[in-house]
Parts: sequence; structure tokens; C-alpha cells
Amino acid sequence: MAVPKRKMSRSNTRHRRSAWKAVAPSLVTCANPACGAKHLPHRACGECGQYGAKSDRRQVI
Amino acid sequence: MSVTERRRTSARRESLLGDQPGAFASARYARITPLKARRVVDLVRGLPVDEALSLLQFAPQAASETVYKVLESAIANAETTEGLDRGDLVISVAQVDEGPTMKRWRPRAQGRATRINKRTSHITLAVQPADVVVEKKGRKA
Repeated sequence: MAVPKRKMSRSNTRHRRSAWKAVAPSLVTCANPACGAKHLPHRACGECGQYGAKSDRRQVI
Repeated sequence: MSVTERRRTSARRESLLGDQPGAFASARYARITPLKARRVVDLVRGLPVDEALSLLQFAPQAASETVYKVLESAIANAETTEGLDRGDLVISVAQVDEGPTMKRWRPRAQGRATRINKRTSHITLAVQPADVVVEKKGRKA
């Protein structure tokens, strides 16, 4: 069975952990002029429940 | 909202904020490992609070829910007991300390047993007005 030959140094452990970062989610502002909350792109707004662009293509779900 | 007067300062506040305006909140003994909690807390350090709240709301990490609550609490402390305006607050201190570890045993092959560490975190966030934080940074550099 393959086993590690050497103890992993503190430096290597810390170097690996420093690279493990979370990425901030990209958010868009809701196009509904009455709402203006932040939500994920290509999703319905959690605050007002509307989806889509400005103007009449906007859907109320 | 009524503003209550802060009568005494704790040693904790003294070490986090000193005599500067600001407020803090902490979640102690949170059942999330410090490694995973720091990954989320590192995201929001230095951000304006409203930006940080919307980020935490949509971040997929499990720790973000706990950090969200701590931030809400810190903002509420700033508004009610310190009388600060929510709009210009930024997160000045964001730290995760290790709490006590619960030990659990997992039976393994050949009659052995291995330990599972259920780690806990103390999550602390401090919020301060943006101009105070900028001034503090300038003095250090």
C-alpha cells in the first residue's frame, strides 16, 4: 500500500491552506425599480419574485 | 429606535476597538471548524456592512449563515448602544478563534478505533465607521 514517505512540513501545509479560498458570488441588482435588492444573476429575485430584464419582458412569477 | 447608554467597557471591547467608536459581536462555541469559518470570514473583512450582508446571504459555504447572524448582531449593537449610522459601517476586525473540541470515536477495521474531532469556533466581528478605519490604516503605514 502506498504511504507518505515524509512528514508534511508546516510550511507546505500552510501554503496549501492559504490557496484554499472562497470566491465571492457575483450579484446583480434587481431590475424592478420598486425593489432594487441584490440577487444571483439568471435567477428570480428573492425579494420581489420577478425575473428578467427591464421593460415589458419582465416576468412576475 | 431607542439609544441606550453604554455604562462600562469590557476588556474584550478594549482589546478589539480600544477607545474608538464601533461595536462588536461574537458567536461562541459555534459548531463549525475554524478552518472552514475562516474561509468565509476572510471574504468579508474590510467590506462595508451592507455589501458583506448580501455576499453572506448568497455564499454557498455553510459557515456564512452563522457569520451573517454575527454581523447582524454587531450592526444592531452599533445602532442601539453606540448610536452609529448603519450606512457608513465597515467590518474592521474579523477573527475566528478555536473553541473546545468534542472528541468522538469511530470504529475501524482490525478492532482499531480512530478519533473524530468535532471542532468549534468563536467568531468575532467588529464594525466601525469607515472614516475611523481609514484613519487607523493611515497611521499604521
